[in-house]
Amino acid sequence: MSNLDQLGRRMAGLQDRHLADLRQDTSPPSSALGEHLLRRSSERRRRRQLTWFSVTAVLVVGGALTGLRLWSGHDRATVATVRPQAGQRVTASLLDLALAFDDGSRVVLSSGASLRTGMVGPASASLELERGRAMVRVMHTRTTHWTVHAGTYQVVVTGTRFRLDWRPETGAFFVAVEEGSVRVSGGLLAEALDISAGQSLALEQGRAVGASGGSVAPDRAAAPVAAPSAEPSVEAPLPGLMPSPSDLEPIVPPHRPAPHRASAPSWRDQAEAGRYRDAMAEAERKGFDGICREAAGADLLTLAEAARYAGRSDRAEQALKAARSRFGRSEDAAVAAYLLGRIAAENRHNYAEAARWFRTYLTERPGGRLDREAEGRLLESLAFMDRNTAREAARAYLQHYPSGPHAAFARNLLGP
Amino acid sequence: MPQDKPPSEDRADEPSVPGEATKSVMSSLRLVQNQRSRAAANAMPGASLVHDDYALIAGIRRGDAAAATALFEHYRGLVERTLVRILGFDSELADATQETFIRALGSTRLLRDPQALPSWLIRIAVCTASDLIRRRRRRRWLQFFAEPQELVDRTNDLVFEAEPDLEARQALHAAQAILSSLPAEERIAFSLRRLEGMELKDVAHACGCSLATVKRRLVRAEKRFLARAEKHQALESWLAPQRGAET
Repeated sequence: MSNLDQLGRRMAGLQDRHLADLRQDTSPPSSALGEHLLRRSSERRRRRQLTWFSVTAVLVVGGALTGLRLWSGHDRATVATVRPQAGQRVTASLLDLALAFDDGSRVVLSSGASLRTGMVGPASASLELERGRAMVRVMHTRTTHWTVHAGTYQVVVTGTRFRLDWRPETGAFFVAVEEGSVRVSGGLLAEALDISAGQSLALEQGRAVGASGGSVAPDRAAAPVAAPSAEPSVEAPLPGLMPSPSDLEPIVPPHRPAPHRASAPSWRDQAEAGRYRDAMAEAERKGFDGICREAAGADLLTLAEAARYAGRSDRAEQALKAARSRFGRSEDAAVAAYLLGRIAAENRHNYAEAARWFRTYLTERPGGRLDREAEGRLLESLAFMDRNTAREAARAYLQHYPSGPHAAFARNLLGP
Repeated sequence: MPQDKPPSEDRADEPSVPGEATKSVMSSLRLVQNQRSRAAANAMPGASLVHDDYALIAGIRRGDAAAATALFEHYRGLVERTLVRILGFDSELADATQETFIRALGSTRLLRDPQALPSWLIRIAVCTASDLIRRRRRRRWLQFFAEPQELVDRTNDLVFEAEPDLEARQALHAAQAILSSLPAEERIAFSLRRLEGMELKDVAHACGCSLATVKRRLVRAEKRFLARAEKHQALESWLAPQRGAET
């Protein structure tokens, strides 16, 4: 027997003696003790059952919520939904927050993200992601125009679903497109980049840290659109962005089907599916000028939209002017005027011309469906040119639309 | 062991050699408890049905308060002794004893073989002691409550005062202090093996783990115990030949 055992036995012996002494002083238990013990025992069992039930309920509810979140996509599992207005700053402090727009578009801010709303219209919005992650789903219509700024980057949306992440402290920018396409420009990008469904782009502190899922080709606004087979290469370097354009290409779609002329989708199909570059390529192949001479008014607007989002504002203007010359004072012609104003303002920064086109729309379609938007855009354009004229326009705007998306902008113009 | 003595006297007259007492814990307790059951059944009105463990468990499952009282009376000594081995004379000993019986009464449906009642109660007592130690550690860690260490030590002081040899008394104090500082699992394995003198397989059963796990815990516990014992001069003579010995 080891000394450790001897020590233990000595200790146990003394404990036993003390226990025996204690027992002598204790009276035998009464029958009430049994009742007491049984009652406590059943109380404990009930408590445990309640605890298990609560834990199970929490797990089931949590599991259901998680399942619902996974099943229905990221933007359903938000705690609150707000209806955004122009000039707001929205922050998702602890939990996700959804912004629901009138046209059904939706932006879900992840916890910690903050966003500032610039202009908010029926089918358009200008937002600034100040920081954090946003899941954006924009409803696609003919007049949809959405722009999301993230720092110095600009993402032009064409009816799509994408995720955007912006970390101002590190300059990290990330965009991943799930549906449709977006155009990214600004920041460290020398040229605009079209990013389509399945593609993503990550930029950080002056370099591309990743791009995946398909070709991310730079916009070549003035050059003829490349055939699909030539698309995967990134021909133009992105100065200051990366040492070599090949950094942006893990990127070639592995099995891009060769165009089959007999069954190839029309430019119209491509445009409606959001494949604007393909639509333009097909339209060019068919003969863009011929389409402008023969297509219906609505088709010309679609063609212009495809050209615009494919970075071909020249072709967009050609189609819109064709619509105006061929369809006189129709609704399509008025919309063409409005879109010509947008191109003048946003692509060429020619605000005088833009103001002329917006006025044209307002004159041709007073009270039309784009009236409020056109008046707001006119206000924006005038503000770049002549403050006094802009103030008059601001007063008129506030009279017509006191709570419109440009109301805050108009009040700012008028001052205190 | 005389069978005509009341339970407390049994304990008082047991040799202070826990190893021997515990080696036969399963068998001797059966004898003792049957004899005590009869005594208790005679003492309590309506308890005549309670004459062995089968009847005891059957009565408890029916919700018979007399059976619950009998269980407490018959096995209180066993439960208390198990708890004392692990916890020492703790200020919460009475509560832990009661808690053990409350747990046991609430889970008799899990006891398939009433013959295993004593070892089953030991296992519940071990769990109760383990929970108490861990709860205290959490409390101490969060510093919401002060550890009632003084109460524990004072009671143990009284216990060890009965030791006539001053050197041995100091060694026992030191050993109890070291034991109290061991992690719960190691403390339990060490106490049941070295103080209570249980067989390794019985320790494993009481702890609800495998034999290999208990051996590992014991090795760790003894290593830790010996390392801490080096700081206590009183333990020097007791443990000098122990160092390097196997479990």
